[in-house]
Amino acid sequence: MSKMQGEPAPLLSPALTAFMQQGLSISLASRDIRHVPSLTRCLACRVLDDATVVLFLLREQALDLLRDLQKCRRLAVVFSRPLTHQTIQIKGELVEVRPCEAEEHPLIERQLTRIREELVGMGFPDTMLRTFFQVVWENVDAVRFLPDAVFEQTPGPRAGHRMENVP
Amino acid sequence: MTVRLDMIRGCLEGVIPCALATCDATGEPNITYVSQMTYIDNEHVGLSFQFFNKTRENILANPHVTAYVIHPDTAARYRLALLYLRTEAEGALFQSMKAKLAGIASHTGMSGVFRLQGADVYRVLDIEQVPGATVAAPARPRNGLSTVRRLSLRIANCTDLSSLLDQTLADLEDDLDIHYSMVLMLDQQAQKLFTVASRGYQASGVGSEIPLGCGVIGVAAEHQTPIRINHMTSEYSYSLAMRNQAMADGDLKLLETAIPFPGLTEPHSQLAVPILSAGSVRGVLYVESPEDLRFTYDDEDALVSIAVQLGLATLGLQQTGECQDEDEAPPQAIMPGAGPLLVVRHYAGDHSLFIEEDYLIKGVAGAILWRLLQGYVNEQRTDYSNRELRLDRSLGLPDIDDNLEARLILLQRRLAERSHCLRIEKTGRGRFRLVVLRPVRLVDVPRDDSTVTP
Repeated sequence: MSKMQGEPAPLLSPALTAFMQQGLSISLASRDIRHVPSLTRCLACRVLDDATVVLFLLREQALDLLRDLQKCRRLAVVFSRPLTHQTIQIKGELVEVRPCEAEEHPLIERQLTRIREELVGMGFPDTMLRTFFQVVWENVDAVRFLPDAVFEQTPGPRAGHRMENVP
Repeated sequence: MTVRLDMIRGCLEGVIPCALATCDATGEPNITYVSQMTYIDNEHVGLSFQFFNKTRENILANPHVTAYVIHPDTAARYRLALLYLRTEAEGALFQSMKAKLAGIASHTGMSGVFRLQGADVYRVLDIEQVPGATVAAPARPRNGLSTVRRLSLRIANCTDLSSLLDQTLADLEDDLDIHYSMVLMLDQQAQKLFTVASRGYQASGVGSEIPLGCGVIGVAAEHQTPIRINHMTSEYSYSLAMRNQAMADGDLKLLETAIPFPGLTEPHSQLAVPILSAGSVRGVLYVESPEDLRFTYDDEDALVSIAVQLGLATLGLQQTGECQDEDEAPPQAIMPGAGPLLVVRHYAGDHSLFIEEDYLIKGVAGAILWRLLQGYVNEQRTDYSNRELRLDRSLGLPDIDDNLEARLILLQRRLAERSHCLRIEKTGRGRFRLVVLRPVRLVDVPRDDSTVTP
C-alpha cells in the first residue's frame, strides 16, 4: 500500500513491530473504577495490519485486569528484552477481548521458545522456565487494543521519553 | 493459606525484575520494571526512587500500586497490593538500599545510570498468589533456626573474648559454609573500626582499620543496619573507601594503613552486620564471597542473630572480667631476657611502635604496649589487670565503651604475628602478663619528631 503525502507515519515502525513480536517479557496493566491498578504478565504479542495489537494472556491469571479493561478500556503494556534491557511502553485503548484462536498457537509458541532460550542463556534454569511459560490453550485470551502513544523505557537518560512516529 | 512477605523474600532479590503498575490522576495506567524491592518487615517494602519518572509522578498523585513478583527458583508468581507511604532520603533503609543498588547497577552495566535519590516505603495491603504451575523449591542446605541455636549455645559457653571471636568465625565456616569472615570493633573516639579477628584469608589483617561510614563495613556501623550486596561493585570496595577518605580529610595518617585490610580483592557478595549491645554499635561482623548472590535474606537473619549474641557476650565477658580482681595469678619473678638487645621505638605523635626496624602497631594499642614495656623496664612489672589499664588516663581510652579487651586481643595477635621476643599471655579473667624474651632498650621519639608513619 502506497502512502499518501502528508499521511502521518504509523505509530509502530517496522523495527518496533519486529521488536515487539520477537519473544519478550511483556506486562500489561489497567485499573479499576477507583484507579487501583491491575497487572498481569502476557505470553506473546501480535501486531495486525490494521495497526491494532493483540496480547495473549492466561485468563485465570488476569481476572481483575480483564474486568477492569471492560470498565475503563485504558491499558499500558511494557515490552522488555531481558538480555539488553531494551524496553518500550505502549499506552492504548481496548478494542476487544476474545479467546485465542488455534491458528495463533504457533506464533505464541515461537515467541515463548525465543524468550525461554534467551533466559536459559542468561543462566535461568530451564525446568523453572518451562513451568513458568506453560500454556493451557483453552485458558488463553487475546486482548486487542489500539495504541495511541509509545514511550522509550530502556533504563537511562531517555527513559520515559515519548517516541516520535518514525517510520 | 495466607502468604506472608517473609515467606516469599526470594522473589525480592532482583534476580527477576519486579513489575510495578501505577495510575495517574486521570486514570491512565503505567508500568515500570524495578531492579529491587526491599523487605522491611511483613507489612512494608522499600522501592528505590532513582528518577523523577511517570511512576514517581503517579504515586504522589495516587498511592495505590500493584506489583508482580516471580520466584526465580519455583516460578511462583505473586501480586502485591501496595500503598505508598513516604520517601526516606537518609538513614538505615536508605543506606542499605543504596548499597544494594550499587551492586545491581554494576552487575547490569548500569553504574552511573542508577542512583538512589530516596527509599520509597510502601505498606503491603495484600499478597495474592497468581494461579499457575510451579516447580518444587530446591532443598535448603540447612535449617537456619537450628544453626542459630547451635551457634548461640557455643557463644554462651565461651569464657573469653578471644575464643569467642575465633569460635564464632569457625562456626560460620562449619555450619553456614561461609569461608571468609572477620570481626571489627569500633573505636568510638577515633570514629573507625579495627579488625580483631578474621578467618579464611592468607594474612589475618588484624589491626587494619576502616573509617566509620566507609565501604560496606563502615556504613553498616555508622547506620546500625545490615548492608548486603549481591554483586561485585567497586563503589563499596575497600580501596575506593580509603581513597575517598583520604580526599575527605587529611587525617588519614591517623588511620592504620600499614596493615593491609584482609578482604577479598573482588568480593561478589558482601554482608556486614552491626554488633549491637546496650543500644549502641560495638563492632561489625563481616562476611564475603567470590560468588554472586551468595547471601540471602535467611543468611542475613542468621548473621544478625549471631551478631546480637556476640554483642551481649562481649559486654558480659567484659563485666565478668572486671569482677575478678581477687582471682589474681601470683606475679611471676622477672627472668632477665637473654640474647642481643631488642630496640623498641615509640613515636609519641601517633603512638606507633617499631620493634627493631619492623612496624608493629599504632594508636591506642601502641600506647598500651609502650606503657607495659615502660613498666617492665622501669619497675620490672609484667602482670596487669584490665581494670588498671582502663583507669590509666595516659592511654587515652574513652570513659565508656573503650573496647579495651578487643584492643588487647589485637595487640596480642599482632605480637604473635610480628615478634618472637614479645608476647601477651592471659593469666586469668581480666588479667594478663607481658612476656619479654630478650633484654629491651626503649627509645621514645617525642611528638615533634614523630611524623614517621609507615
